[in-house]
Amino acid sequence: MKNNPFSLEGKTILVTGASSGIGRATAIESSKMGAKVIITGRDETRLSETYSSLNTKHGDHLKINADLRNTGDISELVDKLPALNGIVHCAGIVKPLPIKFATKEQIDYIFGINFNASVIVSQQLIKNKKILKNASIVFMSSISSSFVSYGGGALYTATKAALNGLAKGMAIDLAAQGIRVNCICPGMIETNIMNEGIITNDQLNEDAKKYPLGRYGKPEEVAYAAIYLLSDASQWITGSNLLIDGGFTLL
Amino acid sequence: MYSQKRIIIIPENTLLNCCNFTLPMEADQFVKHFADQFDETDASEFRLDTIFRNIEEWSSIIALSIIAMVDEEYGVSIKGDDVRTSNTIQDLYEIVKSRL
Repeated sequence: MKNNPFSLEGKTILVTGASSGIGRATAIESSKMGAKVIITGRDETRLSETYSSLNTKHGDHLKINADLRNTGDISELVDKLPALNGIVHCAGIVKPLPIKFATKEQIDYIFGINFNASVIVSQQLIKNKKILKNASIVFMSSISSSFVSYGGGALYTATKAALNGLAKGMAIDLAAQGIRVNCICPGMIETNIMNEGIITNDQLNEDAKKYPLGRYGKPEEVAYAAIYLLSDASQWITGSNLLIDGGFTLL
Repeated sequence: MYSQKRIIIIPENTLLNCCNFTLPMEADQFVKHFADQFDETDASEFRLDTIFRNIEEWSSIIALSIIAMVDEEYGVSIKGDDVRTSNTIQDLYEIVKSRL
């Protein structure tokens, strides 16, 4: 792997939301690419499942249980973290909600996890000088952000569009240290984020047919993009939104 | 046109403040909340035995609104499949009632 610009060897990477879905896949694939991975998530059991799936060929990893809705948990997490070469913010939820139900409580709930937590974790890490020079920060946005939306998706889309904006401003603020900030905007990925069942399986199967590539994405396919943005191969990319959507937004 | 309309006088304070209201009153309140999710269809068209999918205005957004209404008003989570497999408003009412 010498001189492989896509390698993550020697890099310490924090992955939030690592107990499931895209976060779990990102942690596992990053460990295979040589990174020392620090995973955090709410669900202790599922976080341990991710931890035991990490590739240990390149050394030890770390798991820290935390609920990022809780600022106390964030401070504790930041205290325990070593200096980082990269962060992938994957913690997030989906809650289909028509706009007439978008009360302050609902706004606070979904923004609290999808947006506020990502900002506060980043802010505290930067303030405590735990993000190294030339590091890479990746936010898990969505095609439902500045690109498209869906029925009942106004709040979710707003949180993800907010991340797109955040990344642009942060990219400028942190450019002097060579720290890059980018968003990944996936289309629908096969994870359990929709398992709450508000959208039926029939509706999901029908929706999958709208993708020119004929299916939903896999978590690994998003993880590979995260690896690219974390690696030195992307060292001149900052403030961008990388679409991974099987062609969905072409139509 | 008004042949199907049923006039029921509901003392609202009783409905809101009383925990053990009788079943017909509670069901009527559910029908009212259900009807509130529609903008074009007259409230008089909604009864417990209404097959809601046949209402012209029915849509996937209204289905999401029903789910959100049940969450907001009753603190009960129902799934898209609960709506899909229900035919009448009463079917949904029974599901919500069983999870209260």
